[in-house]
Amino acid sequence: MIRGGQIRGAQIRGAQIRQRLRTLLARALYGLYPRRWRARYGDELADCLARSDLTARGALALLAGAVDAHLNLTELMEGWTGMSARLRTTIWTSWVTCVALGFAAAGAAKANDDGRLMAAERSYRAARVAFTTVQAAFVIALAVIVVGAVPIAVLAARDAWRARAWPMLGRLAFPAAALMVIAGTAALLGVLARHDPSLGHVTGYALFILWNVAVLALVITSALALRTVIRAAILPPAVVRLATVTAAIAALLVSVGAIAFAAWGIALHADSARLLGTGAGLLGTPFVVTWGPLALAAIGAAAAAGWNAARGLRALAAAP
Amino acid sequence: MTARSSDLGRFADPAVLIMASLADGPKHGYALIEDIAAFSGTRLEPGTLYGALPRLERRGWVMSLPAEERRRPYCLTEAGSEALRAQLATLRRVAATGFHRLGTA
Repeated sequence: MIRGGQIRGAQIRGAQIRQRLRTLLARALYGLYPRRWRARYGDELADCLARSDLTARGALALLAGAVDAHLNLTELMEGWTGMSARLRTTIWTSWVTCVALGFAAAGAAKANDDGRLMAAERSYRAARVAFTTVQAAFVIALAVIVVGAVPIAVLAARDAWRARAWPMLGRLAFPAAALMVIAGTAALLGVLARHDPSLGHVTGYALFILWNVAVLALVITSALALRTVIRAAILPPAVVRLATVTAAIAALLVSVGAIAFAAWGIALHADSARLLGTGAGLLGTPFVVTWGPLALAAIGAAAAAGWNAARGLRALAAAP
Repeated sequence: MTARSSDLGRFADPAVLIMASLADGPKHGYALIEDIAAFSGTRLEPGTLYGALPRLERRGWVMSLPAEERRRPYCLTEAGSEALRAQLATLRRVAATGFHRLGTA
């Protein structure tokens, strides 16, 4: 009886030692893979190895896999997926920048509600051409973004609906809802500013700042929601390519728009300097307060979008 | 589609098994091994699986999804579905010819 127990104990210890040796061998073979390969696939491979017993055939496959990974590292690691991840980042950053600039341009367009500015634009050709260019550039940029975004939204929505992935559907719906809130409050503030004669400068400033803070919060949360959608959606390469090209075109258009916006203010200043000191901006704020920071932000953001788009196009050219 | 399955070399056969397994939805590495073993009787070794998966990703035939802890699910892309259909059509012709010549069709 005692001897039988000793045999069983020895068998268990033997099995434990064999298991330990298999684990050590698996770790050693795993360590033979290139570091760059392990950074991408290592966790997954380690998870598989932890869940299965390493056989002699499995050990040979791991050894062959490690040799293969060293020999074909470039081919394995610089494929479409890596490019696709980079392109998705380009798409997201360029689109968000362009849409944010579109909002800024819409805000700046409100400055045109002022009769004196409108009269000045009618009188001065340079200012009129510049402002028309701003409007045209941002409208076309937003239309181009829609062309690239619709296939992504449709595919993401279809897959999310099939998988009953409610958080993903919520992320898809959020930017549209935010856009409606922004448009609604902008219209409301416009009506308020036009029809309430008691709306003084202080109230105008407060509303202007509050509205901008709210818009910024909605733009940031929408951008984060879109980021998740663009990164997680299952997209065919053709859709990613189209979206990257639209991001590059939109970045080019907003760059033109940002430069035209700066030129618009400069042209107005050159033609009618006194306008810059008046309360001709949004909700009675001085024109310089509306135009100056927006022009600087627009040029900076357009440059960032252009740089990102250039990186995306380079990645696209190198994609398999 | 410019890429062909013959370009996958010794990973061509595992590639078909992996794509067939992903045809009914995303799976991570170990789930692929188990599913392939269940429907084909072939147990892919992790080393073989992770030799084929990067190649399929590079061709845009499968796509990785966001990782869940240490596991990253993979799914079949539209291009992957087309490639799988072409492969299965060839296999069907081979099987039909083989059965016919054996007189068991």
